[in-house]
Amino acid sequence: MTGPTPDPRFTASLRAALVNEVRTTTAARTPRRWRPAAVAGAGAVVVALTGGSIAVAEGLVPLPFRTGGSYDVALGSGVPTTHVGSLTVPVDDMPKGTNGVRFEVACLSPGTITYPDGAGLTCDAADASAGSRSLYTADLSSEKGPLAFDVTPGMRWTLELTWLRRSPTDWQTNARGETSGVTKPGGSSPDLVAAIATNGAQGYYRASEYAALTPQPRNPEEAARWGRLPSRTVTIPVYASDGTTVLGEFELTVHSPDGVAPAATNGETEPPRQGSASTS
Amino acid sequence: MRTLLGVDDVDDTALWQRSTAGDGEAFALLFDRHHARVHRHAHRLTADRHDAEDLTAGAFLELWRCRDRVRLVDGSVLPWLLVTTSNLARNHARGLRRYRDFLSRLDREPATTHDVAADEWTDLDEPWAGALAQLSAADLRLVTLVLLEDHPLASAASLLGLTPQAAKSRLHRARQRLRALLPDRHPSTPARTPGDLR
Repeated sequence: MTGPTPDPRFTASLRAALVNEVRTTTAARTPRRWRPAAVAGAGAVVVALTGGSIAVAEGLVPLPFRTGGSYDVALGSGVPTTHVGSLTVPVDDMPKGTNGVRFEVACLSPGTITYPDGAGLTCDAADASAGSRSLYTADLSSEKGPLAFDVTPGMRWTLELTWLRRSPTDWQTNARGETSGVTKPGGSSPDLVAAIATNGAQGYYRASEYAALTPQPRNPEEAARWGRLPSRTVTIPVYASDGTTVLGEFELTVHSPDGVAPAATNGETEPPRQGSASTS
Repeated sequence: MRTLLGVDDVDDTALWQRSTAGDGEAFALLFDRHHARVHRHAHRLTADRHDAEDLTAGAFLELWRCRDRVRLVDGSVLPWLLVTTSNLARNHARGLRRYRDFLSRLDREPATTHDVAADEWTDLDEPWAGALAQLSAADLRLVTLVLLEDHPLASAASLLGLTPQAAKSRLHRARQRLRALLPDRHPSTPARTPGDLR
């Protein structure tokens, strides 16, 4: 093609830097994740959690693996915008066919952000100074009113919003009658959840084995308390879709309270490697 | 399958899957395949060599950062890259802010020599950069894919979340807007010139 010639030194430098970026961030990717609290009664409680099985399903697993969840198509790429306090986002310009939305939020000062669906996050001073970012994907209801973010007055934060078209896919069932795929947007999980093992093998971990190591906090205070506990790395098997053939291991970094701590730990507190997720 | 202008019948799917699994060299091959075209588009949007390089880097970094929501069109990541380049160009400083440190570490030729060829490209692209900056973000994305990059309207509409009819109407209005903004377009304006403007 014809066109201005890019600086060859810049191009070579960029190429090398991209290779490094892919290699290092794939290994270290541990997005903070916040999701709705499973609470009884009326009202929503904001609970801070870090990544789990959904992070793996959405972040690391190639498309052919994504059975049983939601195949998300971004309808345009957003640009981060900075806000102070609460925010209402109109949906007038929402592209046709939008039925989901993804928020990427960063805290610039301490406070609590409650998302339109009641999920949210709480950032302390350390989170704010570290520039902690959170990815969250939500379905949009048919009413599609403005998106209201209820935020601590004076809190500074950034929001990158991407409209999505979400298409559900079906789970597979193996000979043992176990379902396999990714966690559905509503939260239901198959018996075998798609994952990439630390050795790069693509397979599934057993949801029951994952759940046994990842107890859920009951309220924001408990979530915050657990988040301050020392982390440790534990592993669970990654199986083929038959649910029996072991392909490798899946690492989780667990902030478990006393008495719930998993027995089988390797004592490491380093950032998880590929195939791992961080979870409270 | 209709191919993008100047792009062979290559499928990025395998490389993209390897990339998302952490294969940096596969991502580099995607870079090799598409960076010249992304840079060409970035230069048309900015008429500045340095800014175009930053935008090119930003587009590929966004491709990686947003890898769980990237959509391949006809097996290619190029349409997503081009649209992202357009989006970044709408607000160059803010869009690239997150990559400031990354960009500052990249090696560059010292700007000590006068590059006549680069100046010529700048002269050619300046009218386009000015005109394209006048379009709305949605129109720019559509113009990028269909008028400038010769992408099928239906696929572009699908990628951008528009109905084919809405895309057609929007494109018609955008084309008229460009005609008004570029009344004396130089005949040698570099490819891909929107010949449909005539």
